[in-house]
Amino acid sequence: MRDLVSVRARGQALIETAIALPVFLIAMFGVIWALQSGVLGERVQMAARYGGMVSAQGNPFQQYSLYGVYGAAIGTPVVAPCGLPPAQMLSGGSPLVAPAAPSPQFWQPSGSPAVSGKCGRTLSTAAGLSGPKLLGHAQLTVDATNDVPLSLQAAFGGALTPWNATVNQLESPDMGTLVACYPELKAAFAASVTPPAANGNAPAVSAIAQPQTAPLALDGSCSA
Amino acid sequence: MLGLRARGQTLPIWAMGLGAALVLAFSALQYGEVLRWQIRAQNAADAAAAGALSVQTSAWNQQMAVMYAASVEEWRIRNLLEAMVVASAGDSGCARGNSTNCQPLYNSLKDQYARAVARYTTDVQLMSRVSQYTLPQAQADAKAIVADFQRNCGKANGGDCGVSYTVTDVRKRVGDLNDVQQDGGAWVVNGIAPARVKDDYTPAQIEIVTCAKVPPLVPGFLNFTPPTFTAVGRAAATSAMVTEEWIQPGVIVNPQTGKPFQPPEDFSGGTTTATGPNGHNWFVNDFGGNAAKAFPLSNAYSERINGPEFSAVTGWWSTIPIKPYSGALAPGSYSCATS
Repeated sequence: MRDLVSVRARGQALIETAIALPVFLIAMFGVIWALQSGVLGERVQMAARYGGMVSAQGNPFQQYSLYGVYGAAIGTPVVAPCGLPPAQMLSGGSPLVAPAAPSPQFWQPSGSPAVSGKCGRTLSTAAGLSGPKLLGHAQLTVDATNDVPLSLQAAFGGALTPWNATVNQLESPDMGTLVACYPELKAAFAASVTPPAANGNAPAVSAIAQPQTAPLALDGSCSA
Repeated sequence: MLGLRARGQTLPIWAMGLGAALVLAFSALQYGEVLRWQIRAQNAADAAAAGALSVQTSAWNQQMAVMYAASVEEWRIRNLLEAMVVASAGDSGCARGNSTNCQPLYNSLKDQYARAVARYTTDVQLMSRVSQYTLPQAQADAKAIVADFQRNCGKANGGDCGVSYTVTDVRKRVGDLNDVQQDGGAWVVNGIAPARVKDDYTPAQIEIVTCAKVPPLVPGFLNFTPPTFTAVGRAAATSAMVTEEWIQPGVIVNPQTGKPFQPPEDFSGGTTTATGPNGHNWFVNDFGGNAAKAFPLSNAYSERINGPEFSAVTGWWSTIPIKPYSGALAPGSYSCATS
């Protein structure tokens, strides 16, 4: 009798294991997915973060220099490239100093992460401003996905978990934009560094009676 | 008896294991969520801080551009005056000793002088107009920019709708940065006491707090309710010279044109090739020519007359991140949105 019960008990444990093990494995897959997702979500935010910083200070000698002013006033405007975070930041080795070593495969996103950006200018007309203000603007977006385990796809509604981060960075407008958007500034600069050919009588030299104080007028094309 | 006890003995163990795995999965997910929101809040704070002072830096960059243009004009006027003096004396061979033939050249120089002064007057008036920006305006504008960033959240030029933005401080900057970068009024070598600068020309600094109350990913179960997480981002920024140039416009070549930024100008109209003492052509305005030589007796530099140097020292402004400077955050000193 004792032997019979023991045999039944062994069978019971086997059945319980057969039922519980798949559930447990699914839960463990969930743990793995959660770890990957948590890390990837954070890294996507970090990539957008450094993309924002790079775009703000990416190429200061083109953004903020006499080179930029001359280009906008009398030559071809110097176009500073829009700084984007390198996609390798998420998929392995990075061109940046750190991290120097590629991430293990486990922490990498599935597929190719997408990095996009748009740099330009914006006009702020906020209440409380001392006037309409021209600002530099960069919008950086980073997208990546990680795989959802097959056993969890029904619960999560898809084979991939999307992660997205967007950073809107406002900054001092580059000199090319600043000069081009204020025609009076552009005209005065151009006239002084490249005097136009004499035309008509020279103006009479006279002292300044009253210093002007009105703010510079913005070009219509920069108002939008 | 042993058999009865043995029945179902693995089920509690599996149940406990399963529970532990679920707790682990949710903990990992929640921890990732905490990190993600923390960085997101910090990103929002950094972006807002950098943008807030851009109005001040932009105003100063306008001034620098006008000041450079005016300095080019000043240099030209100086050379024109010099040439007029020489031409009026019939000197320097404009007429090869025949002073009567210098009159047309003198008239031409006078005409160009009047035009140069008119352009210079325009530059000066422009400088007056772009120099009206004050520190109180910079402070008010910084707050308005951040408020607008919040109001336009979700739009292309707006902030993060998930967080609330609070400007906790904006003031003129004090201390800590290298003197050359810090000083907006004079070229000051590090280690020497900085110049006293008018408040309106003192770089501002701003500190911003972003905050979001993030509900837990897993709602309450049994009697346990996971707490709401508060993500706080804190950033500070200041206006700083991010690029500084020492440029000789007549010498350094513009990479776009292949020619010097500021090419030489011939005021003679091609009527003379006269040269004065030391080979100086009075009627050519050479913006470059760094002919400075060490002058050992006075430990200084002497300029040859045929190589006067036009040096432009410029500094261009933008905002840079700095460490938050206000000390511990007082409770209630910032607002916090529920994401």
